[in-house]
Amino acid sequence: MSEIAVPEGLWDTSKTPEGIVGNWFYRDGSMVEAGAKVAELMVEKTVFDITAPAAGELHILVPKDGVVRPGTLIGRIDGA
Amino acid sequence: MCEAADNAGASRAEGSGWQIVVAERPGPAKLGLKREHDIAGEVGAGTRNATIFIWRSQRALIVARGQAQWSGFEVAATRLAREGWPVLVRRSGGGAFPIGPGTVQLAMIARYPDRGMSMAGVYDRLSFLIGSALAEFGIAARVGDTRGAFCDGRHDLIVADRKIAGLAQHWRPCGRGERCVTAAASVLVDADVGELAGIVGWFHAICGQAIDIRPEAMTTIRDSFDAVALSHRNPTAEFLPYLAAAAARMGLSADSSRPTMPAGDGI
Repeated sequence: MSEIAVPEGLWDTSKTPEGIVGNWFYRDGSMVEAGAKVAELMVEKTVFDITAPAAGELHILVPKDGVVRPGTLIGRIDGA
Repeated sequence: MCEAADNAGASRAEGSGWQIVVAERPGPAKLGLKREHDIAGEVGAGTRNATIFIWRSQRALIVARGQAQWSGFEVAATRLAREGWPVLVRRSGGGAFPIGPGTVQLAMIARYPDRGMSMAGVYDRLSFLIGSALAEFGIAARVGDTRGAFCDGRHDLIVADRKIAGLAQHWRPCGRGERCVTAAASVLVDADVGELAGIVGWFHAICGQAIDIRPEAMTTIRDSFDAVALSHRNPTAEFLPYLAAAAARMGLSADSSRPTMPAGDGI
C-alpha cells in the first residue's frame, strides 16, 4: 500500500494555513498508473498537481473540496 | 535585448540563465495558452531553460478548472463564444479573468528542487517583476487583494486600491525530485474594465454564481500612469519591452534563492 499525502513544505502554513482538494481525476476504486496525475490542490490561486506514487487501486480519503494541510493523507493506493 | 522575431511573431533573448520570449502580436488566446503549456512541458522535461513568456491575445475569458465544473458552464461558454469571447480553461487557480488586446499576459516558468522554492517566493518574484515595469511609468503598485475585482487574490497587484494585475500559479512534479512551476499573470494595460467586468459578471450569472464584480475595483495602466513614458498610441504593445527589460534587470536565476521583497510589502 502506498500513501498519497500532501508533501511537507509544499506551502508555508504560517502564511496560508490550509488548502483544499480542488479535484480528483479518478473515481474512488479506479486503477491508476504510477506517476499519473490523480488530484490537484488549491491554495491561494495556486494549483498543485498530485501524482500517484505507485500503480494500483486508488482509495480517496479526502474528497473534493476537503480541507488539507501539508502532511495530510488524502488517499492511498493498494498495489496492483 | 530582444533578437529578431521568429515565425510566430515572437522575439527572444537570454539573460542570467532565463530565456525571455515575447509574442508581440495578439493572436488567438488558445494558441497563447498552448504555447505557455508547451514551454512548461519543455522546461519540465529539462530540454529548455527557465523561461519568461510574455504574450498578447485576442479576446477570451480564461477560467480555472473549478469554474469549468459549474453547472451552466457549457451554456455560458457557448453564449460567450458566440459574442466573441471564447472561454478557455487554464491550469492555474483563481477565478475567471478576461484577456484581450488591452491586456498583457506573462508566464514565469522554471524548475525548482522540492522544497527549494516557496509559493510565496514565486509570487514575490513575479509581482516584483511586474511592479518594476509599472514603476517605469511612475505607477506605484503594491501587493494585495481587492474586493469586487475579478479573479481576486491577495497576491495580486493593486494601484490606489484597484486591481491592475492578477497572479496565479501551477505546480507539478517533473521528476528528478523537482517541480515545474508556472507563475502566470495578466496585466490590465489599456482595457475597458467596465466591459471586462460585464463579461465576467455575465459568465457568473449564466453559471448561477452570485459573485459581485465591480468595474471600479479594477484599473489599467492607461488610467494610472504618469503620461511621460508611453506615447499613448498603443500602450499595450509599448508595455512589452518594459516587462522584458524588468525581467532582465532582475537577473532571475534558476537557483533556489529567495527574492528580496517579502509578500505583502509595497513595490
